[in-house]
Amino acid sequence: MGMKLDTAAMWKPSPPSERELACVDLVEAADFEIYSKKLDLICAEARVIFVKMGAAQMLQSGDVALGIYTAQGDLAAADVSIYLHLVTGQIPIKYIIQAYLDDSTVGVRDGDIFFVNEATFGGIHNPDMIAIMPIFHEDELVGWTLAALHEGETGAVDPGGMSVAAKTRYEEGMHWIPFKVGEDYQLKKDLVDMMANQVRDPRMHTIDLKARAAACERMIKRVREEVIARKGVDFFIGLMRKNIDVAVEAGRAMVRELNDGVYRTVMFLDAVGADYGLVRMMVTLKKQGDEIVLDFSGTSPETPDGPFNTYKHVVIAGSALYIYQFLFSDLPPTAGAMSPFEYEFTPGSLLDAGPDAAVACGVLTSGFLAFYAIPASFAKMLFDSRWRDRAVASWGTPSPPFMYGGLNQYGLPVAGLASDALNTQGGGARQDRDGENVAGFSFCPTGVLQDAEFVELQLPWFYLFRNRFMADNHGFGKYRGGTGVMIGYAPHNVPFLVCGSSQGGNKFPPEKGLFGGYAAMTAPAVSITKSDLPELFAASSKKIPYDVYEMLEKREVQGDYAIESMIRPFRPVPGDDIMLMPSLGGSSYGDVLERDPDLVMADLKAGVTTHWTAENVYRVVYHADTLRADHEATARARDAEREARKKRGRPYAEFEKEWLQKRPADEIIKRYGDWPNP
Amino acid sequence: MTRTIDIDIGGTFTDCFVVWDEGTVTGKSLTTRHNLSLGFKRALKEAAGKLDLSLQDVLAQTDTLRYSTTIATNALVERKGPKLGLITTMGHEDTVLIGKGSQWAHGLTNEEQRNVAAMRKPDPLIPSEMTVGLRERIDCFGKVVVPLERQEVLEKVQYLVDKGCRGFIVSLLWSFLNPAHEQLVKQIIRDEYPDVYLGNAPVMLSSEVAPKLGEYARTMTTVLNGYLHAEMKEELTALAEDLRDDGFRKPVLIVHNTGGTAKTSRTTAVATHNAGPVAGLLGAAYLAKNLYEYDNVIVSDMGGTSFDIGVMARGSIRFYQFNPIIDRWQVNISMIETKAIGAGGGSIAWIHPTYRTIQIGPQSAGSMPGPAAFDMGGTQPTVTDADIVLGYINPDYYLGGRARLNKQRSIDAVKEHIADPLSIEVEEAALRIKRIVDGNMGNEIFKETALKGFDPREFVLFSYGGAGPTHCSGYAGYVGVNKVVTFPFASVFCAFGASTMDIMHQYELSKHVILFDPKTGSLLDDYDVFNRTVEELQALAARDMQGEGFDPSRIIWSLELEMRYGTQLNSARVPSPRILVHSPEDVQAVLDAHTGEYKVVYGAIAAYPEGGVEIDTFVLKATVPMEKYRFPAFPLEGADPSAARKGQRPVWWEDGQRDTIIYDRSLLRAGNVVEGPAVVEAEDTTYVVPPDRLFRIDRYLNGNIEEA
Repeated sequence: MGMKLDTAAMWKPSPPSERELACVDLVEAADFEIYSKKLDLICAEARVIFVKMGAAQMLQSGDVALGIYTAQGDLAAADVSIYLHLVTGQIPIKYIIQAYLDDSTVGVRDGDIFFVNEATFGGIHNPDMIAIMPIFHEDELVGWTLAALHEGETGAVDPGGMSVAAKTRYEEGMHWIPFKVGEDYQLKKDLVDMMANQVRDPRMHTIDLKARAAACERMIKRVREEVIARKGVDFFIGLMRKNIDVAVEAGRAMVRELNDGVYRTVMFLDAVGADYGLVRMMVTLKKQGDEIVLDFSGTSPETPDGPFNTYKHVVIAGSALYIYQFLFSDLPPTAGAMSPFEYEFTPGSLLDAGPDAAVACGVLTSGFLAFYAIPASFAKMLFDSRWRDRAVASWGTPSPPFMYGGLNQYGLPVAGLASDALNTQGGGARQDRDGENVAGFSFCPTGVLQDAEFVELQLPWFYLFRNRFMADNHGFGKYRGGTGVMIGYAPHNVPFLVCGSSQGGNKFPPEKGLFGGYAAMTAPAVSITKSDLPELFAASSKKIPYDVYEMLEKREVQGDYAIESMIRPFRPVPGDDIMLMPSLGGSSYGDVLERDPDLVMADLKAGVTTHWTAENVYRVVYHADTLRADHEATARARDAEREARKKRGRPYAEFEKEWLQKRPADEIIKRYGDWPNP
Repeated sequence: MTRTIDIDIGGTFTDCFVVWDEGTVTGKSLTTRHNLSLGFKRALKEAAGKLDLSLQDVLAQTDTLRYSTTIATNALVERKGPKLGLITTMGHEDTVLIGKGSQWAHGLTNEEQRNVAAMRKPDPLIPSEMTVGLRERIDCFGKVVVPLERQEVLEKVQYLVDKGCRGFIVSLLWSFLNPAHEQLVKQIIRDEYPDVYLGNAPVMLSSEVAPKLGEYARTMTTVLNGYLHAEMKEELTALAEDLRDDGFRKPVLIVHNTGGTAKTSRTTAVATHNAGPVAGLLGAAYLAKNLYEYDNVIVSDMGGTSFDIGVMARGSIRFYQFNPIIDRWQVNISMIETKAIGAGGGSIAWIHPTYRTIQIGPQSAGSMPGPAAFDMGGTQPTVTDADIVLGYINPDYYLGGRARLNKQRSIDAVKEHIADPLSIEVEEAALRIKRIVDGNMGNEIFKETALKGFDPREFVLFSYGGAGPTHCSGYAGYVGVNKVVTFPFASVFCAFGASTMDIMHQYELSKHVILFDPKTGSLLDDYDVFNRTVEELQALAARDMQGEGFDPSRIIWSLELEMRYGTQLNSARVPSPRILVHSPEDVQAVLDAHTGEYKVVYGAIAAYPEGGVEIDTFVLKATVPMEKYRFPAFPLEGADPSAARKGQRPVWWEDGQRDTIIYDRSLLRAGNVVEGPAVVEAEDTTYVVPPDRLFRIDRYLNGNIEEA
């Protein structure tokens, strides 16, 4: 059994210390404006350093966090990056303060470099590796810096960092609670080598560790030179506190303006282990005055046979993704922005797992909540407010990462997580326009999809197709969700790779649309094994597929086709196998019959929508050759469909009576908990 | 005897700097967007008048005419490009629309990027229906995996022609490594649509325009080049003909954002983007080295709408934009780095609705309606309005008195929008506006310099642009520099900068070369891989220089390499100590250069050569030096500036209002020292000298702001 902290109590802003109270009044209005921006720029500079130096694919994707924290460990400034780690990063800092600051065998000194990747100590899951360094002024501890990055390898039972085979934490690889990996601004070579020895790609691990430390060091240097040296240490302490206080005040003021009420959203996942099986997650927002309680009761219990469990603090951090990116996008991303929120969990549930639970994929579980259940509940609250433009339908819920291990085309060991599917998610629809096609990575929308050429240069596979929209891979509605892509991987220039992937949502969409809009399409994972692809390449055949629909409809590539779960345990993938991986589209907003027919035609031209959908879902009548809509005929077709809807409709009591008698097969709800309310 | 004309066409003004034998004159005119040569000629005519010559006489006797232009930027903003067709690899047709996912954030500020709900990708320059995919494929070793078939090309090209395509962009995966398929597409189009027919359209290959790794930026660079090509060609041809009619007989040289100049026939459209600010940086570097022997200089240009920053460190300006953006598009050309933020005299001050703090920009009142004081309908307070309220800018001497400003409008705007909502006095509000805009600019300068691995406090700050001398003392304080240099020709500085530029061509090619293999622990021993790449680029350079009329033996070569440690995602640009390598020592020297560069930028903790070292891209520069103007040195006269004193007025400083002496910049002589607090007025700008500063005129008549 691993160690466990009461992490759920450590993410809230600490009450101001006497020192902070004495300093905060030193910060005048004009200086606050200039120097709070200065802190942002310091974090931004560190991010550039970090991204330029690092190696993990997720660095480019944006799964990276840079922050400056108060001496008490509260987030005081951050870069535009992934907020998840910035929030949970407070926990290991507070732990170090509690456990080691006054411990004579450890202590905290200028130049110390701490490392942590243990989820129970504030990580999200163990691939998220964090460096933490204290900021000292003379002998006083005045703050902390943090640099976090998702590493694509942890030394787990299988490569890629997010082991889908793990049933307990002991199969997930390295779990380091905070420890000193360096002193006096130097990494200790013996410890670095020891850590590198634990993983399949030691080069990547080492270079990224250096990058984290360099980023932290850069922030310390700038804080000292640019803030403390110019304005004094008291000003720096006051500035950080004011950055938190401003967010507290402004955040609560906004919440106060919203309508009081209860807003509930329920969602289902179709797989949280190696096989299918429904679980339920539920969030109820209880808004009163300037506070909002997020109550997750009604969620299924922890699963004993899979890694999709998660911890409370990870769910809280997941909610922060929505709060910082959408709800409070104009507030400073500091601990203060979390002030109006309280959280309630059911112990032993999927979202409040026990200490031995496997949690490597739990970030996806919290991601489902962050990008569907929580935004959907808030959308209902925001729609009747002056912030209606922030009521956004669900983005493509976290797409399945494709994980790999083996030797590359140069004979060098590689292991990691390919970020293609993550960085190509569709955006959610808005009240006045569609979601963006391939909007990016919902956890960090400014993250960067790597060029296919760059990936093929470094890693031993060949994209049959990737940079192409997948038609209908989004929710349909008055404003549709952004569409995603389908990626075709084929090992190339090596005999085989070991590959796997982890994600649900194949048979049942985890999210729904807003206000009558459709959920995004469920996207299948497909494998073709023992294919004749090598022969087709050798013959330069026209049968080589360039599109998923063409591939599945024509089946000109010979081989064994399998439509399978996106949760794929690791397996050897030889050069004649093909693996397809979808990225997921966004959900929609409003009724499909209200969509402008010309927008449907534009989608047809762009390959975003199919003719079937245009005719049967949007009910548009158009000329197939010119792709021009006949508006009058369309209006008639839509009126007819509205009439048909009325005929299909039934009184609610009648529907409910029948609905409550339905129950899925036991096999499907084996992880669900008590039916119907877990 | 040197006689040169340099023209910089900006969004608002067209600037002209003329070197005529031993002297220089300048001219300035409003930019005439409908016909750029009109503004060009007006500015030149003004300069010619100062030489008592006609425009025709000046043109007939000029040796060199260099030209930097914003045509490209304007054409892009106005979406004036032709209907193009994109031919790419099947299965990857939406590369441009996908735009690396986060394309929506490209070109936005950090604050804008945080608002995820409002994200919007830019409207594409080529819509989906004008994009076709070919069934072909090349792999990462340049090997043809699926060959290209002629018939398919014919069908796809015909489709685009039927859709009204006026130009073809061809960008296939891995074409920079093996351009055979792209060349075949071009050949087929040329065969089917020969040049002799009216309907023929240009064909641009990504392997020729931007032969570097990374399909998105390579494709986008080629698309932008094609999109801007026709407009630029038309404008530049018309201009050249116009100049020929007025007596100019030499080829016009175009200023490039790579830091060099070339004839129109050797200029790509994308190379002209942002060339003006780059020319300014080159000019500053010339002055720093030749007049002052400074190695480290930060360049700042504060105009009406933006604030541009550039850096010369250790005598070099070889910093390139990381993932450069043109408008909203990422490109892969090596543009010399200048950074622009929305802070200028016209930047609007406003109060953040949530924090109740003063914000400056990025919105600008521009030149129409302009600041409230312009009395042309603007009601929002701007930085210039704050400067007027504080007494820095004389409303009766704006542009040397050619424009009268309404001070009361400035007071009203600052009062209504800033002072009253915050319950503070108007002057306090104006001081806060100044402090915040100075702080924003100073912070940005610090970050940009620090990101290159240098301590900005060890630099000298050069300041120019219409609003630069008014604010440079303020933002210099936030950078921590002790010395600011200003120039009497500050308002045409970028045109001056162009006069210092050489003929320079730059050639880039991505080639993956492992210099140190971590598996075997050995250095590269196949020197041919390295040398062949360099020699291929040298052959291209020799061809182009000959085409420009220069003997290739005059070329000065320099090589830069984009290198990275094994598995790293991004590469670092490193000046190579060798053009060619012939021994293990040569290879080691290249490795050492990378390690040294890396340590400077990222710190000693970061270097990791044992993980392997690779070259990504070769960048060869071929330079033919041009003769440049030498500034005369004047004897130093006494420190007493009283002969230039023109009056006195109340001015607000950090410690309150003081009666402040006003000086006339044109009457200050070499050696004069003005003690702060003081205001020095020139026709084109106002120099603000705070209480703890001196304004010293040096032997080149430049004004130095220093600690008292």
